[in-house]
Order: sequence, then C-alpha cells, then structure tokens
Amino acid sequence: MTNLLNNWYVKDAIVAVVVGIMVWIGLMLSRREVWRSAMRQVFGRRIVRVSFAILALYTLIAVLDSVGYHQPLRNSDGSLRRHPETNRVIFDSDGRSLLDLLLTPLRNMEEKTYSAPFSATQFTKETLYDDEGKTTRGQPPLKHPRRHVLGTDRVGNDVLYLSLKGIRTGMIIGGFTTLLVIPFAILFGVTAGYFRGWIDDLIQYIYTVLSSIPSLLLIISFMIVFGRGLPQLCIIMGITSWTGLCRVLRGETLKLRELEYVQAAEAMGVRRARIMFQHIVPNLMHIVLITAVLSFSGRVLAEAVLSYIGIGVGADTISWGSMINDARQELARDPVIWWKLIAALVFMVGLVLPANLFGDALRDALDPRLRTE
Amino acid sequence: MSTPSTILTIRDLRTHFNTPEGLVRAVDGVSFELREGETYALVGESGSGKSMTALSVMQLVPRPAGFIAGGSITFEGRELVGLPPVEMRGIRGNDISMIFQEPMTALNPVFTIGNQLVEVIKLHQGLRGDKAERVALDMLDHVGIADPDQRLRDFPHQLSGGMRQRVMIAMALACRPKILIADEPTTALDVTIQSQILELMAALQSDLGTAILLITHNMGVVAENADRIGVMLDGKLVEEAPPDKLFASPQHDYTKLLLDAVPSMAGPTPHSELNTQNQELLQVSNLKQHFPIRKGLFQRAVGHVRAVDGLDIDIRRGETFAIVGESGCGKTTVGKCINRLVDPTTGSIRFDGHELADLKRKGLQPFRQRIQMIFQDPFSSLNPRMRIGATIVEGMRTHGIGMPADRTSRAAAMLERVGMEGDILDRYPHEFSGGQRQRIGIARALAVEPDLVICDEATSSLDVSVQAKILDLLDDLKAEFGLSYLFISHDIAVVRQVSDRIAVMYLGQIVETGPTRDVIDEPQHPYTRALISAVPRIEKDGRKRIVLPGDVPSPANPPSGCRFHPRCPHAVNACRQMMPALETTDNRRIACLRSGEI
Repeated sequence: MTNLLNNWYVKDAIVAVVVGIMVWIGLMLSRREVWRSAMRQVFGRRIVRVSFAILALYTLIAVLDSVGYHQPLRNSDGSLRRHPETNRVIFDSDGRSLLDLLLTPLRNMEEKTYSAPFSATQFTKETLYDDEGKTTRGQPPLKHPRRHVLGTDRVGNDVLYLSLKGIRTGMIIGGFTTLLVIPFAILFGVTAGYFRGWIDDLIQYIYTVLSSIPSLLLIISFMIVFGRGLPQLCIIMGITSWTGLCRVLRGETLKLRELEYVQAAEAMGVRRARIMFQHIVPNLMHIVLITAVLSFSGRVLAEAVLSYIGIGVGADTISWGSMINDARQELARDPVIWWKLIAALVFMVGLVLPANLFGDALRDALDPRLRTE
Repeated sequence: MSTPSTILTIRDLRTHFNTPEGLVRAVDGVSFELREGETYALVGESGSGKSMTALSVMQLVPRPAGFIAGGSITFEGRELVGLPPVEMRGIRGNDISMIFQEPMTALNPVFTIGNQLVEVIKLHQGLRGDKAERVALDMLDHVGIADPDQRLRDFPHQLSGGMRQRVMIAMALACRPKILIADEPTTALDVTIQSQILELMAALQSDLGTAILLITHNMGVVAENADRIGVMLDGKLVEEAPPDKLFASPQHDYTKLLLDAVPSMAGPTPHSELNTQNQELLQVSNLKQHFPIRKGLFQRAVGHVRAVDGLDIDIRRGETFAIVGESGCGKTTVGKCINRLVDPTTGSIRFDGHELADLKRKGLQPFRQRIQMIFQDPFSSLNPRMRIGATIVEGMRTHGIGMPADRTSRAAAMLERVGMEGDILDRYPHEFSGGQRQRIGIARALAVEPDLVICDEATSSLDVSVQAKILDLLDDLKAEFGLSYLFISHDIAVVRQVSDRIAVMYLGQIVETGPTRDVIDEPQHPYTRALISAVPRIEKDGRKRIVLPGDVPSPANPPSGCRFHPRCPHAVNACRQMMPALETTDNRRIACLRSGEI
C-alpha cells in the first residue's frame, strides 16, 4: 500500500479529484441564488478579491505541478534509447510536471552549494586556483550570478524553485484532507443529531475516544506503521480532525430537527434519508464551508510542524515543512543561512493568510448568528 | 379640572434606516403629544414604525444604520434630538423608562433579581447596602410579587414570564419616572397573566401619576387601557382619537380595515349550527403524554412532565374543533400526538376506524397523507433552501399523488387556490412575507388531499389584517375540500370566530368542552370564566374582569385534587383532594366538583 500511495500518478489523481470536486461545488453553489447573493457580499471587499486571486494563483501552480509526465531517455546522438530486448522506449524514472517544464531555466540553474539571494559568488569559501596556478581561499563566482532570487540550498538547487514546488504539497495537505473529512463529518454528525438514541451514543463515543488520544501520538504511530508520505499524512490528519466539525454539525442538527420545516416533512411522511439530505444538510452547508476554508490553513501549518519533527511527508517530497526542517542546521551556522527558512515562511504565509481572510469573509456573509438584522 | 399639561411633544419625527436595499423610512413625519398622567397608545401592525418611534424618544435607535433624519422631541421643554449622550443618560431611567416585550432577554441571566434591582437603585437614587436592598424589597412588594425576600435571591430563569415582567416594571418605576414607555408589554404573556400586568400598570399609574406611552398591536388592550390612541401605518400617524370615538366612528380607511379584521368577542358566533349527525372522524380517549425528567449519572427518570394527562376529544367530519388554553397547558402536545410526531405514553387515537397510537413508522405512512398540519411560524415552517415548487411537490411524491409529470402543474394550481401566483414555483421562501408563507404552508398541506388538518397556532404570528384573510381562506377551503380542522390556539377571539366546538385545557386536562357558542358566551368552569373575561375586547359589554392570582403551576408537579384549585376563587376543601371528572350536563361537559353550585 505504501508503494501505491507514494506513486506519483496516485497523487496526481488525488489533485485532479480535489480540484474537480472544488469546481463542482462552486458550480453547484453558483446556481443557487442564496449563495450567489452571499458571494456578492463576500467579493464586495477588495481584500477578499485580492485574497481570492492569490489563492487562485496557488491553485493554478498546484494544478500545473500535478500534470505529470515521464521524459523518454535519449542516447548521446539524440535518438530514443530503447530496451535491448523488448525494443521499448525507456523513460526517465523521475517524473516531471508541466510546472517543471515551465520552470526549466530555474530548475537547471544549479550551483555547487549555498549562495545568498542575488549573490554573484558562492556563500562558502573554497580553494581557488588562479591563472598562474597559485592557490587562494575565496568565494568562487556562481555559474548563474545574481539570478537566484532566493539563493540556493546546500546542493545548489534554486530556493525559489523549491518553494514553488512546495505549493503542491501544501495544497494537497490542506485541500485533500479537508475533502476527506467533510463527508464523514456530515454523515456522522447529521446521523447522530437526527436519530439520537443509541446511534448518537455510538458516534459520540467514537469521536470522544478519538479526540481524547493525543493527535500527535496517533499521527506518529500511523506514519511509522504506514510509512512517511503525503497521502498517509492526509489520511491520518483527516482521521484526527473530523471530530471537531462532526460535533458542531451534530449540535446544529439537534437544533434543526426541532424546526417546523423538518417537523412538517416528518408529519408528511417524507423518508428519513430525504429529510436528512434535503432538509437538514443544505441548511448546514454554510458551517461546512466556513470550517473547510478555515481548517484548510490550519492543516498547511500542521504539515510544517510535522515535517519539522520528522514525521511529515517523506524526504523525497519537496515541502515547506521539510525546507524548514533543513533550516534547523543552516541556522546553527555562522554566518546564518536564512533564506531557505524565510522563503518557506513567506510562501506559507502567502497561502494561509489569504485563506484565513477569505474564510472570515465567508463567515461574515454566511453565519446567521453574526448578522446584525 | 383643567387639561393636564403636555409632558412630551413629538413634532414631524423622521427616523430613517440605511439598508442595502436603500433608505427605509421607518418613522416618516410623526407628530403627537403625551400629557401628564395619561396613557397614549400607538397601535399598528408590524413594520408600521411604532417601536421605532419609542426608541427614537429614548434616543436608542440602532446605530449606525438608523438615524433621526429630522423633527423634534421635546420633554418638559428640553429638546431630546441631538442631546449629548451623557445628558440623555441622565434622562433615561430617571425621567423616561422603558419596558420591553420579552422580559427574559431584558434581564441579565447571570445575576440575581436582587443584584439587578439594587444596581438600578444605586445608580439612580445613590443608596447603598441595606438601604438599597430595603428599597428593592419595597419595589417587589409594590408590583405584587409574593415572598419578595426569596425572589431577590432568585435568578431570572427561576421566575415565570409574568413575574419577570413585574420585575421589569419595578425596575422601570424605581425612580418614579414621569414617562413609562411600554413596548408590547404583554404580548409574550398569557391572557390571564396579561390581565394581571395591565391591572398592575393601571394601579401604579394612578398611584404615581406616570404618563404611559403604550405600544401594541392588540386592539383590545388599547380599547381597555388607553386614554388616546394613535394609529400608525408605514411610519405615519394616520388617525388619532380617544377610544370611544375611534371604535365608534373610525375615519381613516386603514383604521376601518384594521377594526374589521379584529376577531370579535361580541355578537352571534358565526358557526352555530350543530352537525351532530355527521360521523366521527377522530376519537381520542384517555390520551397521556408524560415526558420523563432524567437526572444524575445514569439518567434515571426522577419524575415526569405530565404534558397531557388523560384527554378525551372527538372530531366529526366537516367540523372545526378547537383546543384553547394558555402556554404550557399541553395543547400543542395533543396535536403532535395525533399526527404522531411524538409517541403518546398511553391512550387511544382512533382515526376513521384505525388505531394510530401504537402504529410504527411504516404503518403510519397512509395517515401521514390523511392528517396534515399547518404550523405556527411561517418563517421556520418552510425550508429556506428549497424552492416553493419542490416543497409542495415533495408531499405529493411521497404519497404518490398524481402523475409525476402533472405534479408541478397541480402545485401551481394549488398555489393559485390559496391566493398566490402560480408562477412562484422556482422562488425561495425568503422572498415572501409571513402571510404569503402561511398560504404556501396551507398549499403544501392541501396538495396531498388530507381529511384532517391540524392548525397549531396557525395565525398567531400574523398581523391581524393578514390573520383575517387566512382565517377566511381556511373557511373557504374547508367546504371546498371537505376538511375537518383541529384548531389549536391561545386566542379565544379567533377560536370563537372559526370553531364549531371547543375544549378548554388547563395543565394537561380538559376543564370544559362543548359547542363554541355555549362555552364562550356562558362559561361555567371557573377557569373558563376567568380566561374568557381576561380577553381584552373592543366592545364595552360591562363585564367584570376576573383576575386570577398566581401563575400556572408546573406540569412536572401538578397540584393535588383539582388542578385548578390553587387559583380558583371558588375552591373548597374537597377540591384539594378529589380530581373532578368530565361530567356531561345538558349541552357540554365540565370538570368541576362545584359545577352545579357556582
């Protein structure tokens, strides 16, 4: 299972599903006048429009980074390299994405090791040989001087490139986990609140037990059993975090089931499944949407923390968390190598802050308790 | 006696609101005067601007959306519009006080009654400690609260609605204000409690000489309590007159319309012919609904709320049967038991020969079509996320009524029958007013062709002119569709107008039942007499209001013997020990041990 989960195609499929569902939800909601007017209110503020544009840009980058392909290997004369026996074309085992293709110049700008942003020379000193063969200690010039906007890391990769690659990881963690959580939270929360009785007791028992286990311990043990990786992380973060939303939805359902329109459907003899999904769930969607957007940013941050303590995504996945983890050693050096940490933080804040602003605006528009009428 | 001097003058008051839909003129050029010691009543339907007028006087218009756009309010020669907030605070409470509709939200739930009273006394009279507490005790005593020592230590939730309103009046009158503004002071209260409060306000007014600005939608309350009346419509004062003149010869068309719409307590009852020949549709016998009170670690039942405690009614085909009673008497629970939204504890519910009381979900399904319900609150009885068409079609689909292709056109036809346009199927409930939503709710119920319709306070939250139209509609539909109604209401005037027979409930039991005309025009049970005498009415009929002492006891711990004996003016020893049974007299059944004597 670990192999399957770490397969590049599987992750791409996940992104495709996530984006597809988001677009579908957007289309569904935009057909409803209630939501359209709410959205007009949300987008009435400039800060929200800016936030949304930034989020859209991040999403675009994540999508571009998720359209993957494998480059065929070529011989030195430029012809396709083929398997000696089967005569099949041999592909590079490293996958590439559309983003990689767009960023080819950035990706190929490799140096030997660290260099500061916009520096013309390498950060570390080396023994240099001048024309006469004399040796001096000094900082050698870079292959691509003054073109590394955010510097390079220990093995000479451009940090801007790494940061951009980190977007996909962050978006998957935030988006996929959220979409994983929502159906369970809705199903269990509404079922518990609507049926009451032993079903309610059972579901409450499950989520109370789950939320009384320290989530960090649960995540660590899960990652040890199933291996480090992005999908595993999403799954276990989902398992530990559906309880909060579930609890809120259960409470709201308890309230809604006593409302007259639910009683009316009940008295009409409407089937219970239909009451739940036609009369109760649509009236909970504002809570789901607000929670989804606000918890999205929490999950992006959680990934950073988990990668920092070494149980996040694997070392082969570029993520802001692992960049911060690397920075642990870099900050211990003198002079300090700061740019990798700062780059990861800036990109992370660039995602989390607009998401929070957007979530707050959604709450202002959708949460009836905040309305001042 | 010389004319009393004017204490408050309002000239061309305009209070406007900025809303996303544009400027709303809530109060649009209102002028009137309040004289010393009089009661001036502002009446009008919801949205007429009567409450906003009061808030403008207090300078409490909700900011920033609302603002006073013009006009003047002078109190004893001082202009209140534009007065600095510091000076206004000195006037509020000291000179002008206000009591609100909902006494629960006006009192802070985390402080005791004593804390809150003493705070007011400290603030306005500068008294502290024991002295302030003594004044607080006096005040509670003054507004007729029994055992004021104990009440001072109670929290608001421990008091009944009527007691809370008394506390609010005590607080408002703490500083002997010159003006008391009462904004729907009795609307949230039961009719017997309402008459207690109105009596109290009148007594205090003659004691203290306070001028009262009474704001209400209830014409009966106005007729009995006001010296002069101003009728408001759309932010304007359309007519002003003393009650005798206003009710005898209303001038403005709107006033005439309003007075026509008020259900009358006088004159012949509209439904008088008895249809005893008709066969019985519903028979309820010995119905009990006890809700367990669970306490402690293991949630053991420590007692029961006896919401319905042994009830017998029968409804004939084509009849309108009404259950009336005050809040907490169990009338709503009866409705819920009959259409089986709750499972009755014991008893039998026979509907057209079928026993419903112990049917399970599946067996009930055919009766979910034949028994329909119209709910009280038009704002919560329609799913806000469902289109009108889907709401109406849902029931038809559930019960397989009509061909799937025809259902939409049937829904449109039904909407037209209840007085709506047929082309609103694709719209959402929030686009409609309360009365329109109630029509949609009626269309939903009738679309599945029921036999019995339970109307649970179906018109209570509507304005009186809308209520009249809905009642007319229900009456028309009854004949056209061959319906029977079970009408559950607290409003005796409405019930008098619509029902053929009536049952009066008190604490889960029927105290008196019979033909509407007999019961309402000649009540015999002491509770029915008090209840009916407490209904405020426009007509001067020389009746004496019977004010019952105290509150309705808790159904979790009902009194021994006759449930009504603690409040009954005629109770004797036997009433404390023996529970009276419903006994048939010539034209009605009555549960009173002394029914022959009093």
